[in-house]
Amino acid sequence: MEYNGAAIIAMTGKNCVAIAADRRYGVQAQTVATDFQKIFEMGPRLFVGLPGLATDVQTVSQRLKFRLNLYELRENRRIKPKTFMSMVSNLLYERRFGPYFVEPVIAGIDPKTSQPYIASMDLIGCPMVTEDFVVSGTCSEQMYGMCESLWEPDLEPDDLFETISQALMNAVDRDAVSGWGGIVYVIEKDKVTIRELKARMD
Amino acid sequence: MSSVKTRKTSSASSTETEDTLSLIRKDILDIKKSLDRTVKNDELETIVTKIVEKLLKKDKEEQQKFIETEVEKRCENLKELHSKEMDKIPSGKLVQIEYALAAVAAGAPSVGIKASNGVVLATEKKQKSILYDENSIHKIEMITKNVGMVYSGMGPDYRVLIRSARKLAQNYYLAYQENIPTAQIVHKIANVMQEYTQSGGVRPFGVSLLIAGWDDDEERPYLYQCDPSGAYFAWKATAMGKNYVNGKTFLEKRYSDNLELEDAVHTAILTLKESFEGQMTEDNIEIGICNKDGFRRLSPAEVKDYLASVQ
Amino acid sequence: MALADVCGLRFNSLQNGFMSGNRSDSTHLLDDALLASQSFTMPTEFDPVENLKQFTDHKSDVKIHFDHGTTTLAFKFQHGVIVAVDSRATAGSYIASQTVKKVIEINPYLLGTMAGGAADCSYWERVLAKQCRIYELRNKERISVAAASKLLANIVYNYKGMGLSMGTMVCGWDKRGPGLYYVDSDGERMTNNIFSVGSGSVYAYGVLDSGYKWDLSVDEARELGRRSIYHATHRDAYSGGVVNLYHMKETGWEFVSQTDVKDLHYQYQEEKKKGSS
Repeated sequence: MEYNGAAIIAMTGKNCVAIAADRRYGVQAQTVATDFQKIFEMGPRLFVGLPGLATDVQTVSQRLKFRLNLYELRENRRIKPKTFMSMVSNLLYERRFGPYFVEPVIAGIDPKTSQPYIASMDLIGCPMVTEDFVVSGTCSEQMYGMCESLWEPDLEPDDLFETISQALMNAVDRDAVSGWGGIVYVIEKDKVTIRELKARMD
Repeated sequence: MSSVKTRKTSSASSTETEDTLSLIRKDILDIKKSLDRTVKNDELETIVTKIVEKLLKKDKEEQQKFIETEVEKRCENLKELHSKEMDKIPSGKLVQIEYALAAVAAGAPSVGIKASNGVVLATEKKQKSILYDENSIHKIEMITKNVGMVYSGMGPDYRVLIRSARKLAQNYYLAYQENIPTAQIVHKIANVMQEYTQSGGVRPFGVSLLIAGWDDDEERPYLYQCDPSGAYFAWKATAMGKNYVNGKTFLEKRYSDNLELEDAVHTAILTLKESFEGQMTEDNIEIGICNKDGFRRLSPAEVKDYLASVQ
Repeated sequence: MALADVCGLRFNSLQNGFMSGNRSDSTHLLDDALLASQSFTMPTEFDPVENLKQFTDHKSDVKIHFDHGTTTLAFKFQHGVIVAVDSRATAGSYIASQTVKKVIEINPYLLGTMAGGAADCSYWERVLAKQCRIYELRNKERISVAAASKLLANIVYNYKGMGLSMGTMVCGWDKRGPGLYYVDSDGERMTNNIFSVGSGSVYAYGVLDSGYKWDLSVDEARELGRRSIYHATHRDAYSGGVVNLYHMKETGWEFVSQTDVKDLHYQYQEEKKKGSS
């Protein structure tokens, strides 16, 4: 998990959710790129963040998209975030004895009920669904500390953006192997806003 | 015919002819393997020898032509032989499925009606002997919380399908932590039934199924019929088994789109009654209903109440 | 006792208690320096080199591990010595501080840089400061950079194998002009025009080497030092914070600037954009 470094947070707000990640791709101490994708679109209102070993991040994201596409074609409907969570969990547990080194974060809005949904998982698929926020990555302690003190219920999209950005930026500033920029997705019922964060680049 | 390859002979020198011959032999063996296991080995040998003999006499171009025609001829023979073993008859009908459908048409009648707020399944359950314990066997079964089914045709075949249907439904739940949508379980059951029309060593199922389900997502009921061929359709109301034509005609007259579940149960009983021989009791019919609370088979007492209100 | 058990330490006579050590193998090379070391508490009959091997050995499970995450550099040029360092302290991947002073002001004519164990560096350079002052009082003239650095090298050599961890550059100005020496805890000591120490040194060298000339102007030299540290902090996860820049001149050292690398990053990016358009 510390080989490449990553930090991802998801938070709920009032009729919205947000997911944020850092942008660093590094090999141990060496920072190789600062525009690495760690959040993947799985549907118009569904995103998954994959912190962990970069090679597994890409493999898992691709295999998830593969399974999701088959599901949506088979059932001719959009997947619910909760169902998608089971899908991720199963994918990971299939590798119980030789796991993918990723600890996913899921954020989405239910296509029917418009309920916000966030969840995180360990690398073999044990789910953790919460009402407030989930964090994953190399500086999870720092992120927990920030979320614990900044988050409050029923944040409007703009306030949610501010909260999640501050949480992420200040957490990664205490972690050597994550940071180098950030990206935030604010997901609302009928729109997704993507913003890049200006950050310390050290 | 992927294994039929023709090779150009570039020179007529004896060693190369030998090479060509061994290649031809290999090709023929390949064809033989892929088409038919019943052709005798020595029969093949004679053909090859014949080819060899002729080859030695003819020049290059003729050799090529000769090989091609010989191989083609041989393939045609094998193809013919092969197709004779298949279940095909010239009309294009697959007789085994026809037999299965006949078994269904001879089976006990079943009715399904979709109402605005649920589905009802009803079936005749006449015992051959009064000595049977009529409460020990059920024709209407639940697959999962929100789906149930009934059959017309052969009881033992139905058991196999129920077993696999329940397993498929649970596998879905295991994968997604969500009840399987009716359309999905029907699709999966139909797949099983189709497989038995094409696999070796098995026969198609002698049953048609009526599958009733409630779709939590769309918040609406569904009624499907699934035939031995693996074909399936969604119905507003339908009947299967003995006298199904009459049943359907009756339903066509009685059905309306804004039927309530209670009325649908009545209509189902009346449809069965159309062709029912003897007195209808709570012990010789079975009823299942499915609504937003899930699928459930009515108890004999409940059936008795419905019967009383119908009469 | 419990900790000793966990670490697998086998003290021969721990029951005798800790006493101020009259180390049997101590030499009398540097009496004054050793005076300081005599106050280190150690078990009797305790051979640090032997007993600490298990902690310094790379294969060992239990290790006394010092983080080398840092970037420091110094180079001589026609107008003196430029010393530039980052300010990050890490413990594993945790950033313990972004505001560490990694340049140690030994005296107005001597600077030391800090890489490796922070305590080792600051303590021994403090000892060095004392020694240098004593030298001045005894000889009525300032100590040369060569002598000062050798003093430090000799002290740490006495502790070789006992787990000291430091990679330092001693910079100064003496009769011979600008002086720059590299001293580390292995006992190595050498002089050159350019040095860079720490995990980010490779990146710093890259920038330094491509921009270095003896006859750099003062401004150019300072900018080179700053830029080298910035690039190291950008690429190296264990370096960051601010750039502390010192300039050693004939008149002694001058603290030039403290710049946040965040500002440097966006400043350089702006310049790059302008340059390309």
